Amino acid sequence: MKHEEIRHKLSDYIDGSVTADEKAEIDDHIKSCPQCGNALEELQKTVGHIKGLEEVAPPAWMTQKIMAGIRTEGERKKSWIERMFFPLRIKLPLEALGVVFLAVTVYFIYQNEPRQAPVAEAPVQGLASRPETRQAVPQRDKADKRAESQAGPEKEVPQEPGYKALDMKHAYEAPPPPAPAPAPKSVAPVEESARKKDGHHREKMEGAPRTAAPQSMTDQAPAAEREAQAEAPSAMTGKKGGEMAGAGSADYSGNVGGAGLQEKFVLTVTVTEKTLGSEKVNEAIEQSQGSILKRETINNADTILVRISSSKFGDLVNTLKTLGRIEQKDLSKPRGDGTMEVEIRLVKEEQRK
Amino acid sequence: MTMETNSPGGLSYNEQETTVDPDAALVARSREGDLDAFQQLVEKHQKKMLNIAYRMVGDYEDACEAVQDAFVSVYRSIKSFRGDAKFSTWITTITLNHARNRLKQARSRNVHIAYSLDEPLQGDDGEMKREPVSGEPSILDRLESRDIRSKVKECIEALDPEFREVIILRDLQDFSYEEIGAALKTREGTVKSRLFRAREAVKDCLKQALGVL
Repeated sequence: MKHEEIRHKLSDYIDGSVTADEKAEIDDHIKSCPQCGNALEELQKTVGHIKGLEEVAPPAWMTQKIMAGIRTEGERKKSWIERMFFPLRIKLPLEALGVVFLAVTVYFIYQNEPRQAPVAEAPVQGLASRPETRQAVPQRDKADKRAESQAGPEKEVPQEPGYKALDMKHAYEAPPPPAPAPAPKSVAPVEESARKKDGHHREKMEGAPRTAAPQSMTDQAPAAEREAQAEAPSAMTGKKGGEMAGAGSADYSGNVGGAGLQEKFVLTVTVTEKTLGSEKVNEAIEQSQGSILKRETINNADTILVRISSSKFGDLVNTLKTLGRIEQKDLSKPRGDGTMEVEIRLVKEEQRK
Repeated sequence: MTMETNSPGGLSYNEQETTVDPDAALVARSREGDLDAFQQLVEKHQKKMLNIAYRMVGDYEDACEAVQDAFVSVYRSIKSFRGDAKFSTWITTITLNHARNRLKQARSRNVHIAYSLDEPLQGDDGEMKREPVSGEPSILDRLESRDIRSKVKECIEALDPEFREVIILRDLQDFSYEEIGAALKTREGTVKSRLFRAREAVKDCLKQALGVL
């Protein structure tokens, strides 16, 4: 080994970690090299001094403090783990069971949640559900059906929800019995005379009790009847023993609510000037404290649906009469103390047939 | 060189290290949660660990805290100790890591006081007045072992941590090269090289401080 290599081996030589050959070589070199000998001596003294350092003793409380720290940390860690999961044999199955139970509960709640059915469309033709109309329909008799068969095709009038269908005119309390057979004949001349007297306005009110339908079926004035039938079941026109055509005549038909809650009448007003007539009708409605529900034009006839108190119906009719004369023998009176609907049809004179 | 503070599964770097561990039984009981067994391990090894930490850190109180933290870390990770190395080697590694961290903290706080020949020395037996070095032959006689020990302590603390460790483990704790290699996770040749350089440095430091060894 070279000089430097031996110098680097001196530390191992001191520790006895060199091989026998290396030791012999170093021993030989040291004998002949004072520097390496001196270096070895200094190194040995240094190591000796280092080894001479005394050890320090741990404080008496060190073990206790270490164990206290370990116990505190272990108990803290153990506590929440212990609470949650130990003993495993008992708590783990319980927790698994709880999770399963929760999942099943959520599933059943979701399954049994009431599903909202699609909202049924509001019936365009309203009052099929009304109790009075429902009562009326089954009570229609053969005469009504016959009248319907004779009548032209019904005209469906778009109606607001709740609006009593025109074909439900059956559903009302029986008005006074219609006039006997000759009555229409006598009525016709009256109508004609009324027409002659007042060619401006003509009110036609259709109303006929259901019970009188069979009798009045054959008593209808063809002209007045045709118009009524065009807009309403002929059964109703048939009932209108008091139907009158003519200037100033008032024909009306009405549906009496089976329970007397609401009544409906149809008034046909014949005017020579629709615009002027319409204004006067509006005034009449206001004077009677009625409210206009709907306005529409059907076959060039302005139709105004009015809701009015039953007590004010007479006032309305009287006001409309000022627009023309009313001639009818079986002018039905409104019944009940509630409100009623009045359909006022404004027809131009030349359009009446 | 960086070492993990917690060495999971023990040291496995030096495969030649004997696996015969006199602490195996206590370690096994400690892994099962036997605190009494672990306390016995603490009582058995705390002095050695304290001295290692003390020589590393240079301050007794800091060394005590480093050792406490080390043993808590040992207990925390004892279940992952596989027994590939001896238990003493394993806790030595953890203790050195904690001591090294303490040293860094102390240096960052500028706790270290620069060595001064005129300032009194804090030896093991108390404060000693520092005497200037002179060339008189009677220096060796006048310098008592306490003074020399103080100087040696200072010279060791002046070493870089990686050289300080080998000096402490080899010359103070009588670790074998194999054990030092396992504790420091380095080769035996590296240990020897570092040890030579560390001893040379302390020698030069002592010669400078004492004049003559």
